[in-house]
Amino acid sequence: MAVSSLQNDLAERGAALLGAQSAASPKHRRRWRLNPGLLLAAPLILYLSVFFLAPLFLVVGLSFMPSESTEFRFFRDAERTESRPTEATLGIGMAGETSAEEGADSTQGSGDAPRQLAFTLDNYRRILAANYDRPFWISIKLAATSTIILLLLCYPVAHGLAKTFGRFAPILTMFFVMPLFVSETIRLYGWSLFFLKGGILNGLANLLGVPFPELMYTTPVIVLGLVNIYLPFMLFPLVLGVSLVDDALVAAARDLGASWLKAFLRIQLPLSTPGIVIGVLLTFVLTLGSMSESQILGGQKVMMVAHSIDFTFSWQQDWPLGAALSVILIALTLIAMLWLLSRLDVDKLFKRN
Amino acid sequence: MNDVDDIILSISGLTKRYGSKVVADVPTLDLRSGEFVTIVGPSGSGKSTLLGMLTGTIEPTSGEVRIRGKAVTGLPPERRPTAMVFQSLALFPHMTVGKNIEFPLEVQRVAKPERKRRTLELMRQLRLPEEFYGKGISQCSGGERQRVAIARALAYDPEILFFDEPLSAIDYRLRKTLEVELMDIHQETGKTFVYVTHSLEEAMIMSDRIAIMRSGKIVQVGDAQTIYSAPANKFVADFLGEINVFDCRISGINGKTVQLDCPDASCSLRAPALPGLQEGQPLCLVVRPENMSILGDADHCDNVIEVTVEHELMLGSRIQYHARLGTRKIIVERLSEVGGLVPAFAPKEGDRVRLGWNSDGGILVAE
Repeated sequence: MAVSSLQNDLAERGAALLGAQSAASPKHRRRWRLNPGLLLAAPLILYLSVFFLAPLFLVVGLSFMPSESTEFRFFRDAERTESRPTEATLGIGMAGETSAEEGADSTQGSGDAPRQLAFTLDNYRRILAANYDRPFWISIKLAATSTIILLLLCYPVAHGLAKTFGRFAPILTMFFVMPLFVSETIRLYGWSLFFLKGGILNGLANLLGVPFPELMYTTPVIVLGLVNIYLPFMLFPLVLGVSLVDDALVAAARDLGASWLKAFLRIQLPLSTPGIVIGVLLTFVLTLGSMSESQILGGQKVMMVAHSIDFTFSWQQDWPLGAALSVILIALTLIAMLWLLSRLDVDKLFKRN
Repeated sequence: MNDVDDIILSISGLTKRYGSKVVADVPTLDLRSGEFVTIVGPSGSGKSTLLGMLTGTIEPTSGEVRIRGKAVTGLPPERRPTAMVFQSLALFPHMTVGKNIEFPLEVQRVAKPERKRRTLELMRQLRLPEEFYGKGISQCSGGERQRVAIARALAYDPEILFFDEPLSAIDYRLRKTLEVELMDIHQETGKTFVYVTHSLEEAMIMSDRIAIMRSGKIVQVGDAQTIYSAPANKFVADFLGEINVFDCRISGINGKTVQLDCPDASCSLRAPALPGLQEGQPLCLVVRPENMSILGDADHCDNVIEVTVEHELMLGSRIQYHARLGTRKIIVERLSEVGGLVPAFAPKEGDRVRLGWNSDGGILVAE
């Protein structure tokens, strides 16, 4: 009796175990299923890593290459005095070869390292030594100026679009969007026809006999072009930012005795900072890397950094130097972005937990 | 009584028109200092327009608003000695509780230590713990937020505190708690409260006086008891909610009672006479559900109607019956338990029953 009951008991336990296993298996399987969001984003992630990140890494690598090299290598070419033709190519069997070489090194003695990493900081040194930093300062100055002008210009319009224009807001929005349908280059050449010597403005002044200074190829005209081209990138984030502010909050501030200005400075402005930060970020980053405005409206007099990079790559054929300039531009953009985004803590702004 | 000194806000001939449409028309209304007055009406009754004209956000077409005898009609909100508690409470989300309450003091350029002292004092008064001073608004519960909003309004040191339906979006249980809390705050601060709501129930619970509005006009002003026991007209009676209204016509007046012809009821009804009634005059007879009773076969009453029971609603302490009299719905109530015993007489849905009430259980109101 006792034995049979024990057997039964064991059988039951076995069944229970099996049951538990079969119950657990769907859970186990679920773990391997891909997150649908990740799955949907996968093509874009793949695309960006191949066509954005990989070239970016190449540019970074190239910026550490000796001047006038046109490809990226890990190791320096063997000097012609030494006969090592097969080595020093990219990548293959690196670890093994290196260890073999260490052995060779010890026998040959120091001072004559046969294989060295190709990396050099020469390009960055050249940028600092020569006048290559000038385009950066010009770009930063122009980007900052146009961003500030855009912010001051767009905030009132954004306020109107978000709060007061009512049913006219969509029509006005359309007007602000419309320039985006015309190519930037065409718009810029339109401006140059306007400002050129003997162009619309100058010609009109001549007809009227009024002396008029030539504006074309001056910094203010470049700023005008930048402001014109990048206006939507400031305006629409601002509209979003302003519309996030609850009207009742401003009304409450007024009701509690605050003047119009006080209510604006203490309530609306701080609460619309997400829009301001995004607008400033977009316009600053885009204007910092812009080229056609200074090229078309500034002639060759004012060289912004993107233009200078273009020049270094194409005319000067100095790819490593161009790459180094690019890396600095990217770093500057990144620093500006991180600094601005660190200011934008929406949760902190709304004291959310 | 020095009535004139006591009046804090007085309205005379205040109107607001949009084109030819009269949105609000209040010939006269006086509020006494320290009163809790509620302006109540359905949506579109003009209560928000009236509130806007009192706080200064809406410019009246004509008329005058005086606060302590001084005309404030043309003044913007920031130059009136009034503060408003908004429907959304409108607490500044980017400031702490303390900074919110300090805001009106900051605007008035009160020195920092003094600001903090007064803020902490207000927080004590409104039973907000001191550690809330540095807390964010989102860390506060609904009730705490209401107290912060009131503290902020009080920091402005207003003569009158206006409330624009701050409880309308809050769930039932919390609303009940906050209503009581608001009454306590009113008691403690002694300020004049003007509360706007669409809920007569809320108004009756909290206020000293109620002004009922309909299509831009105030139809009745009085305390909760007066409005409940003597509604000025059929609209107010209807607005009171679950109540029975019979359209009728006076067929005879004899002394203290009047005979009424009611097309719905088969017999004539009797009600207490009011001064100045005339035979043939159309009126409404209002009978509250708790004044009606379900009659046994032997019972007798001044007024008896026969109805069909349609629904039985258990309300806890009471049971409500929805019955039909011709095309009219009749509501009658009885206690669900009397002294722990369930009354034996309980009609079922579909039963024909006789309902009765004595003549003094009904109120005659204008149409």
